[in-house]
Amino acid sequence: MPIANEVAIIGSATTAFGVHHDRGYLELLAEAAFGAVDDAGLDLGRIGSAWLGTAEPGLTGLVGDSGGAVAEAIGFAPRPVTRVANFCCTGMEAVRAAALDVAAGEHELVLAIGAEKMRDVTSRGSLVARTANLTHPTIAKGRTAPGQFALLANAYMGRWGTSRETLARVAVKNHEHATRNPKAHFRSPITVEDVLAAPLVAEPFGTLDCTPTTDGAAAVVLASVEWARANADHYVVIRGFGLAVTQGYYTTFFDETNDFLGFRVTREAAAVAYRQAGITEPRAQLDLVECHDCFTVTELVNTEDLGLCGRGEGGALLESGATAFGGDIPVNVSGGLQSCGHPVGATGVRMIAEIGDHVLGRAGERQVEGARLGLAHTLGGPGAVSTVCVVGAAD
Amino acid sequence: MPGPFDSTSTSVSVLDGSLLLPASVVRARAVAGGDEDALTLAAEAAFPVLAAAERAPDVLVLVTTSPPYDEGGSVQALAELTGLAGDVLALELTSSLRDGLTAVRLAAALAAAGGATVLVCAAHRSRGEKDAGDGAAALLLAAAGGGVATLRPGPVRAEELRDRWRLAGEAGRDEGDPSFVWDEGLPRVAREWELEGPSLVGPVARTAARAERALGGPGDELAAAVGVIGAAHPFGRLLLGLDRPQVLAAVAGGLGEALHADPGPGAEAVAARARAVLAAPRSDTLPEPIDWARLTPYASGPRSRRERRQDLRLEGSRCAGCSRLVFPPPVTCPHCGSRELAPELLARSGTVVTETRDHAYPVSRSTGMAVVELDGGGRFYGQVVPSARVAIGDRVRIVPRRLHDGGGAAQYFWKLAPEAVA
Repeated sequence: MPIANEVAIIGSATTAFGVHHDRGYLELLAEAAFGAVDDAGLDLGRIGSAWLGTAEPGLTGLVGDSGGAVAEAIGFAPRPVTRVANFCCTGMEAVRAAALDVAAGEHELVLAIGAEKMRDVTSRGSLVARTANLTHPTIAKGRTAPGQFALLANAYMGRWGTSRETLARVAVKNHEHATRNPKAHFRSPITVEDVLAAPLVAEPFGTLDCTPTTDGAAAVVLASVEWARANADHYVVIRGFGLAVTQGYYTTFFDETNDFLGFRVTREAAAVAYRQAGITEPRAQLDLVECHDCFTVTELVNTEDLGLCGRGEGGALLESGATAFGGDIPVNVSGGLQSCGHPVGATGVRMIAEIGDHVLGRAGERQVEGARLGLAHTLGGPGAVSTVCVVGAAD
Repeated sequence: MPGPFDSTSTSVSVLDGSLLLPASVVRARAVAGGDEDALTLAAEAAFPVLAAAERAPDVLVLVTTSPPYDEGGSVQALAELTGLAGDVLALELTSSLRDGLTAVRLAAALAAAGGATVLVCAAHRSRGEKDAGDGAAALLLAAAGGGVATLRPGPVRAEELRDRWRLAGEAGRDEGDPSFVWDEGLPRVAREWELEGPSLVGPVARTAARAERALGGPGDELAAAVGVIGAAHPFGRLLLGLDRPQVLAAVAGGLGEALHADPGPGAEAVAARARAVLAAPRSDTLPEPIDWARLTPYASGPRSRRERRQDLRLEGSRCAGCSRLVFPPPVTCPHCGSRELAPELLARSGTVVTETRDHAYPVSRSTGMAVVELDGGGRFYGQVVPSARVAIGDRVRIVPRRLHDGGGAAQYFWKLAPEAVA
């Protein structure tokens, strides 16, 4: 059977995202995994298999470079566990793989875990240094993640006349959102002035335009909708799941069809998920969106690529207040990557858990009232891979 | 006293030549960036000559006292950077700033013997000598007859005499007593050769200038403007004065060589180009230093060889299916899926599509990065040379630079530089 409308999320859990000097990779993984299984009201022994999303085990002495980490962390032997990785879509890939496992009928109950331990080193010594030193000896030299998205920011501001302040207001909005999320890395409100005054990272971005470097884990338990209907206390349904892969790691920025104003890969992934979910008017039909706001400009282009507004209208959509908590299409009410941080493997799983919590009406202070259909989106590469997962209420 | 080397039968023609000076001249010394070395300077000097040449030269000669490699050879990387790699005779002369004139003599013999055309690239990247500048010059030489000038090798000399030297393994130079250098060095040899109005090049700029004045030479405007650019200096002087008869002599460390140059049709244009290079406005501030301390890049010898066309030749692939030019060369065309791909050199010029200045990349305080639409199609994405700033819509050149020394080998690649002043 397909994933869409047939696979349910029956439990979820997210660790606090932040700098966990007192807890290692395996402990974070275990907290999320046991939390999700508890939320599903199950014993771990019922779970048939697991999928682990970890993008950069090289940051933690290679712990997490195979499914063995799950056996070690939660006592899962001898059941099958596979580690998956797909750039910043790694977490959502774990969920997708688990959903395929359920849909294939191979296992009845499947665990998807995303975990990343990034702060056993300094944030500058983390992904930035790893990328600078270990990637391609010529083509990749000078590239950093903020620098690559900054290329979009400058093209975007130049093409659409969007102001630096509008970019900053993405961070201001998402930091405000995070004041209602006890598990976010950053929980203090900031101002446009704070964003503009922050130390430069890659012009025009300062540190407050960028997702922090963060530890965290999240997990979900999946079952068939049929199983959930018969057995689960509470569940939500995957209504659409699109993965698009359009580029390699080095090619997006050499592609002469790239206009640096958005990402084709998001548009392709969204088209698949929308078709499966029967979404034709995303802004009207969706109640909330968690999208990949790794940098401020990314949220603006994501809202366009996801069809919440037209090309070049992301800034106006933001300024209208529509994407703020209380607006008609709230985006990143969790605080997003901007405030939650981006433990790469955990992010996509956290987003799906977040949408599920809103649909179940258990998102606490940040609950989007009456939410029945939401979307989670991750983008990796940048521009190489994207996942879009639409999650809705049970029928 | 005519000798076996002082004969019109060993004359050689200059087909073309070019002078290359770096972007900064500080206190009358040309200063290259921290990512430039003798090879990148030599390659940049060669580019205009190769672009105008009717055919690829048969012989490539690198002349420099500052080669990037002490052992293992440097000229093969220059062969790649200049697109000449393959079945080409490539030589390097690295002992003394006299060597450029020796290369002319070699070229004359090779041209006379087999009709070879010879590209001689001379370059210098100074290691702190006070009177030295950085720069390069290229000469394309062929059998005598025709060309923009004729070069006739003159007397040669080899004898024990140390004026400025560096013992193997030592970092710093030693220099002889100035009165000894005056009495026994270049000035004496020039007097003994009875050269008339010579242009003299020696390792100690002050001594060479004084001797040149004493013998009625024209005066060294190149050294006065940018310092002595090492082994490239004789060529630089030759090119700047190519439109008049010259006698050039270079004597360093007891190794000496002289050359007579006579202009032919077209000499004026080549000299004018060299003078325009010398007169072009340059920055009077030192290039931003490059701090490599935090970069320990992964490197691989097999990869460097496998991808040398991409890294060193700036070669992409033209797709037979959709005609797009793609860089880096793909295995399969990303636009149409065709696997019929033919190698094609990219244009070394283009227009900035977008850019940023990255403060997170762990080299120096910040690094400019830009995406460029190339003039012949395709795109390049890479670093902007230190000290330069580019904006969307700017015209830029793609220039060879030393990217890092990962794995203990010099890794060359391409960076973006503002378009040269016309």
